[in-house]
Amino acid sequence: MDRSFLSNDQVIEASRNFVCIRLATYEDEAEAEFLRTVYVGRTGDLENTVFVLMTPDTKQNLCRPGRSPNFAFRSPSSLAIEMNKIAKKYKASNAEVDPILPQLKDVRLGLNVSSCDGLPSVVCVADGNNPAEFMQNLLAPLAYSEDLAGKFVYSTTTDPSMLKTVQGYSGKPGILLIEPGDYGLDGKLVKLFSPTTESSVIEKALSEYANGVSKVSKNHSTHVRTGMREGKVWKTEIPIEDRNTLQAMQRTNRPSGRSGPGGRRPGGN
Amino acid sequence: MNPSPSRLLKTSQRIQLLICLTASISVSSCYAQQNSEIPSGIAWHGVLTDGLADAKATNRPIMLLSAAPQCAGVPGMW
Repeated sequence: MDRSFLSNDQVIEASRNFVCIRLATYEDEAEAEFLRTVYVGRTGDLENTVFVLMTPDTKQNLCRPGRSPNFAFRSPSSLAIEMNKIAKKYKASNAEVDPILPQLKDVRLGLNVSSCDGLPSVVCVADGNNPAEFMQNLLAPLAYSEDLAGKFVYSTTTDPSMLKTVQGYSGKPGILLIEPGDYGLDGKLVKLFSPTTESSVIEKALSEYANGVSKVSKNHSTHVRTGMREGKVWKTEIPIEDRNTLQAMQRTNRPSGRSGPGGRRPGGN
Repeated sequence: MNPSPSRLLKTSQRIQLLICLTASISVSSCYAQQNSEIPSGIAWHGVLTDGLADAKATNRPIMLLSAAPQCAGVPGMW
């Protein structure tokens, strides 16, 4: 993933007029099917990364699709300029729309992505008395606020046992602030808000936390080498197709997906 | 034996240098503390259907990205 583009201040500013969707490749078959309609490599396989700008109805690409923004843009500022130009063509709907919490599809992925980004995780743990929608609606406006946008990675679960690797968490429902572990397979509970906590209290606590810690940065090769040595394994939901990744994994004898080693989808090309 | 004037001057210069270094280190640590915060970033939808519903409801264009949250099977790294 090209961080120079996506962490650029001008691009971040321009992103506020876009709906930004970042999918986890090889973690959902339906999403993979959609991504294949956007961009595949010369071999016809879904590659590790995909990037494109699209119309709101996804019917038309607004830039050349590719593996990363630099397939279509020579610099982060040229991407930002184009995004600003595109945004002017779309009149925002006047209807009052409740924001949708920008979250991952589950907590397993949420913790991992949180660790990948070097950002803290916020997890809604719902149960019969404390519906997920209530907590998500509480968090959604905060997630897009000027002070907090892009500073936390959100996810939801109704199964507290999914968080058994989170140190300090006892399984109660609520909104959890978690510091992810180095590999996103575990974490440490920083704070638990009861499901009925007022939005302003959560906002203040998240803001204070974000202002008191740094974004974690990691050395790519050291992380991968150490992870391999320590047996840190991530099994993807669907087999990996990217040939470079497969070759790298074959060299180290690592499994390439929940469907087992081999990495090719059944009946795939 | 009393120290010579040149020796006194050198000692005084060393003390001044030490004070400057200490001040410089203090300023550096303050700067590091001020930088200790998470910068603003892009608010990413991580679920396709959520993102598409948002785009439809707000008529905003889409920036779509996909990346694998593992490198050679090791999680915690894009």
